[in-house]
Amino acid sequence: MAKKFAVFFHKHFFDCLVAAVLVVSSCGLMTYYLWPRDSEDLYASIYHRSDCLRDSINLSNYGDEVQYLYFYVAKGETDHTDITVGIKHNAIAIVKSGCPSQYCVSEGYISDPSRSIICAYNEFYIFLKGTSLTDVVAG
Amino acid sequence: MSKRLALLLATCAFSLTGCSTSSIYSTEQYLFSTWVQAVFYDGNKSAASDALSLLSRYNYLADIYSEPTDATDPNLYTLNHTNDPVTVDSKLADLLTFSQKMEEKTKGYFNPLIGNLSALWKEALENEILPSQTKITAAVDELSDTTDNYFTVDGDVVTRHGTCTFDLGAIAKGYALARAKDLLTSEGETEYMLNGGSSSIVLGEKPTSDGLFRVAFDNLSGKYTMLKNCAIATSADYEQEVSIDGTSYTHIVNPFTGEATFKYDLCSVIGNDAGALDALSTAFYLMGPDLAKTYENDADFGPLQMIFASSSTIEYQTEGLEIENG
Repeated sequence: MAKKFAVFFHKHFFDCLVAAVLVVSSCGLMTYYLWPRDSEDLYASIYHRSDCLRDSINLSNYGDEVQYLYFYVAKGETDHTDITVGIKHNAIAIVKSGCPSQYCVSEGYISDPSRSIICAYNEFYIFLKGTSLTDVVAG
Repeated sequence: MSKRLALLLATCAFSLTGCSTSSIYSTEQYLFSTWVQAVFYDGNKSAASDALSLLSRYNYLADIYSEPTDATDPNLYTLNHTNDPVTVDSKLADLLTFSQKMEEKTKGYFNPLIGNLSALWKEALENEILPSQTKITAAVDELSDTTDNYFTVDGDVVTRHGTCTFDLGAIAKGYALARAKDLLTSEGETEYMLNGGSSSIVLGEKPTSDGLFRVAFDNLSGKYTMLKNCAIATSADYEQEVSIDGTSYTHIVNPFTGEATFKYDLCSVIGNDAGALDALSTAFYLMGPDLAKTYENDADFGPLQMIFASSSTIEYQTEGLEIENG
C-alpha cells in the first residue's frame, strides 16, 4: 500500500503540490472572509457644517458609563455655542445644545446606523456607520 | 485518479470564486447646507465622483448667500443683486424655468421668488424674535404683486423684475439629484442611492433579489416602506421648529399668508422626479392632505404617494402605500 502511494506521489508530485497549495489558499481565504471582524462595530462621526470634528469614533469600545465630548462651535457669522455629546456603549447623543427647539437633544441616544442626529440650527451633525436593517431614513 | 485530481482542483477553484465580495462605495459631501451621501453598491467611485461633481455645480449655481467665486460665472446671488439681464449657465436657466412650471403646478404654494419673506423668518427664528406684522404684510404684498415682481428666462438670459428675490431652497437640491440620476442612468448605473440629508433621496436598486431598499421615516418610530427606482422628498419641521411665546414656528413659509406656523412632523412624497417632489413636498405641507391628495394621479408627475404625520402618528397616507412596522 505504502509503495503504491509512493509511486503515485512520485508520478503526480507537481499535481499534488498544486492541489495542496489550492486547498490551503482556499481555506485561508474562506477563513479570512468568514471570520467575524470589526464590521459589527458601530462608528460615529461628528461634523460642524463641512468640518469633520471627530471621525469614526468606535462606539463599541465604550462602556455603559456615559462619557462626554465638549464642542464650542460657531453659530452664524460671529456667535458661538456650546454643544455636549454623550457617548456610551454603541450609542451616542447630543445631551446639550444651544438651539431653541432642543429637538436634537430630545432625539436621545441613537444606535441604529441608518439614523443620524441633526441640529439644523447649529449645523451640527452626528452620523453612524455600521450594519442596520434600514437602508435610509426619510425626514 | 486523474479524474479525482481534476475534481479536487475544480472544487478549490469554486471555493476561491466564492471568496469574492461586493465592494460598496460610500462617500459624503457637504452641499445645499447638509451632507449629501452617495452609495454605490457596485463600488463605482467614478460614478460617485461624477454625481457629486454635478451636485456641487448646482450647489454653486443655486447659492443665494455667497458671491460667485468667478464673476463670469454668475449664480443666484448675482441674480438677487441686479435687475439687469444676466447670462447664466444653462443648468441654472433650466432650473429657473422648471421652478416657474412648479409654481404654476402648485398654484403658487411653491414660489421661487420667496427670498425676502423666507429671509425675514430665517432671521426671526435665529434671534427668536417674531418679525413685525407690518414687515410680513409688506413681503406678502410684494410677492403677490406679480405685475411688478416676476422673472423671465429667455434661453440662458435671466432677468429678475421688481424687488422680490430668489430662494430655491425648496427645489434646488431635489432638482440637482434628479439631474444626477439622469447622469447615472446615462452611464448605465443601476445600483445606487443618493441621500440629500434625508429630505431628498433618490433610489436605484439594491443588489438583492428584489432590489428593494428599506426606507424608514424619522419621528415615526419603527415604521418603514420598501422602495426602489424612485425618489422621496420630505418636508419636516421637528428639527427646525422654534417656539416663540408658546407658539411653534418653522422654516416653511406660506407665500399667501406669510405665516410660518408648525403644522406637521413630516410630509413625505414618493414618486419619480426628485426635483418636482422637492417642491411638491413643501407645497403639500402648506396645502394639507385634502388638497395635496388631488395631485396623486397628476399626469405631469406620474403616480404620487404621500404621508402626512403629526405627533409621531400618520394622519394621512396614500391608499396602496404599504407602511410596515418593525
